[in-house]
Amino acid sequence: MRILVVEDERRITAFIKRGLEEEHYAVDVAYDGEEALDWAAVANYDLIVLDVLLPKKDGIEVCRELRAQGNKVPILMLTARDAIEDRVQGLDSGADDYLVKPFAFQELLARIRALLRRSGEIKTARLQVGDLVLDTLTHRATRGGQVIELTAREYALLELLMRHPGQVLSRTQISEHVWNYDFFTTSNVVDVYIRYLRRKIDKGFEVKLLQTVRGVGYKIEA
Amino acid sequence: MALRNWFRPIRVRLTLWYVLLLAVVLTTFSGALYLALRITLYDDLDNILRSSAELVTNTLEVDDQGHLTAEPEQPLLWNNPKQGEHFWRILNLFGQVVEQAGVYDMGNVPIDPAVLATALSGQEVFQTVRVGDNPIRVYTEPVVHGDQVVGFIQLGLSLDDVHQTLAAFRWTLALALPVTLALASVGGLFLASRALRPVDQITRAAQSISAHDLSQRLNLNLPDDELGRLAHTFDAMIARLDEAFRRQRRFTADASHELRTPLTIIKGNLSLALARLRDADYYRQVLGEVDEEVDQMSRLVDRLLALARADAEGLTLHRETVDLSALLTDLVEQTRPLAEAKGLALTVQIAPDLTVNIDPDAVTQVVLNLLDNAIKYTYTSSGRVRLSAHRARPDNSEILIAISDSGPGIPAEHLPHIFDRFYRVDRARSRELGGAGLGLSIARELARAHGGDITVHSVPGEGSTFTVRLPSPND
Repeated sequence: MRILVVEDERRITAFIKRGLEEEHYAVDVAYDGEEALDWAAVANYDLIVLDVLLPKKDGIEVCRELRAQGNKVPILMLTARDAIEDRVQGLDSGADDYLVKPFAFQELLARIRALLRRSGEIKTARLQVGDLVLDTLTHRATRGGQVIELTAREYALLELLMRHPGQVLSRTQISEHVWNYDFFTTSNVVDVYIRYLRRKIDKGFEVKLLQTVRGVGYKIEA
Repeated sequence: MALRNWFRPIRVRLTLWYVLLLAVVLTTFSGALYLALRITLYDDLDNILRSSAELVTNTLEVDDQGHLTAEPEQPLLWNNPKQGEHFWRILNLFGQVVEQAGVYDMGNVPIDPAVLATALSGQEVFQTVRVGDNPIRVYTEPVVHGDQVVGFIQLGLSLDDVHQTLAAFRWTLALALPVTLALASVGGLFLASRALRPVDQITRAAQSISAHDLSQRLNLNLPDDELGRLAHTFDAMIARLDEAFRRQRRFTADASHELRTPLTIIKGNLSLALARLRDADYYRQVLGEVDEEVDQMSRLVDRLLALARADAEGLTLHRETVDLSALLTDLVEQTRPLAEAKGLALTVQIAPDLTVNIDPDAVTQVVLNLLDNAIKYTYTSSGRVRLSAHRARPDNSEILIAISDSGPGIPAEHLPHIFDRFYRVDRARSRELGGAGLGLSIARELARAHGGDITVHSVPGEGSTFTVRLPSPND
């Protein structure tokens, strides 16, 4: 899952980025409204965390412009203003949720998870394909009751595939959602991680869940 | 209670006063008119009596014994039917009737010795007597023969006509007066309502403007009269209130944002650190960050409190006699390392012996703030910051301290606002430099508490000059 964090205060983006990366999200940071729109135009984000008070273009405007462009990415607004009319204005501009500063990091994470669930088909924190189960809350993967240890990147890759069971995802789609711009990604990197993942979830099992669709990409299916 | 309510509207009271005044005026006027008419009618009658008396007198004959005879040849003036009833008679000096004519029985009009006595002295006398129901105007004139009064002539004429005319006039007035007043009250009420209609409009519009929505205006298209100006003044007042509320709201929003940012950093970092077990380095880093943010918040809270105190009770200065030249030299030396660290040239030109009566702590704060800003915002490697101080007047009663830099300058659109609380030309950069946008506001408050001020002159691309004007009372 790839997230764009838009906030002009660097000391705030620092801890948000650190915390989200701990949760295996790929995170990009923009420091003003215009930069945010540039990022959103080139990358396919799963969620945007957007501060309201921004230089150049404020969060409300950014939100409106994204929606006007037809971008349906879930937007979580952050603001220091908590008057009801501010919340209403934020939500009316197209934001999906609203979090008032200061906030507990756990709440930010819970709201992000809720928004991601809402945007996808899956309504629970537990993803399941066949006997493979992924708990997105604890980041624990099990197959047939057997715990599978995953690295952050492997987890992100598995979560993406399991959120779209049976659906073929291209290498570009995968790299876009699993890696942020700090990594120079090639489809080769995706292949490498698919190999790692396959070794962990399919090795020793009769049914191979992770399948290669030649010339297109990969899918996970029971 | 109900009656009092009914009298409360200004238009009703205005109308009542107006009608009352009109009643007084009309009554006075009618009275005067009635009196004038009465006098005219009596005068006319008196003139007829006088000229008729002359006709009779002309036919008078006086014999040697002083006997009087009169034989008017022509009918007397009043003999036309319209003049109504009349009489005339001639009396001798003893008040005895010599000749008489007319419709009245002479005996019915008493002969008044007092009147005859007055006439004897050569004067004519008019009197009004009543015979039965008939009021009669009686004229008495002495008859003079040679130099001597030999008798009297008396003429009388009925006052019926005159009284009838006056009665008719009285009736007319008695009817016309109330009708006029009634019409005037209706008209007055209409006019007053019409004139006061804008007041109702203003009231209704004002009621719809609440404290929460001061963006509304009356915007009544009234002519430029008293009420038009009232509506205009009202709008101008709402505009000022709106601006004050807006500024207050902006200040509150800014203050809340400035306080919440460090809180967010603290809360976020702490909750993240507590989410799982971390190593010592992690904790050390988080605690360092929290420490920094707490410092930032304390500075901000100090400044907010200083401003709040200044707003509430005004700043109290502790003035003392200070060698400002030495003080400024000290401050410059104190800041010199900061400037040198950035490779800036810090030059000074301070007039000697600036002995003034000021609050040294306050002036220190002002000068340090301006020097600090000048150094912070001058980025060019060969930049320079300059402090100069000199007398504005020869007796040290006003000092000018100028602090100029070769920084980027302040764009013209920001200049009017840079002393506003929390106003920052470049928010992100200023926060990185540790500012909250309160320094200049406080500096100006301090300068103003001294009776002075701070002004700014800035040319984008060339630099800015802040000038502190510091009056110093001579004691």
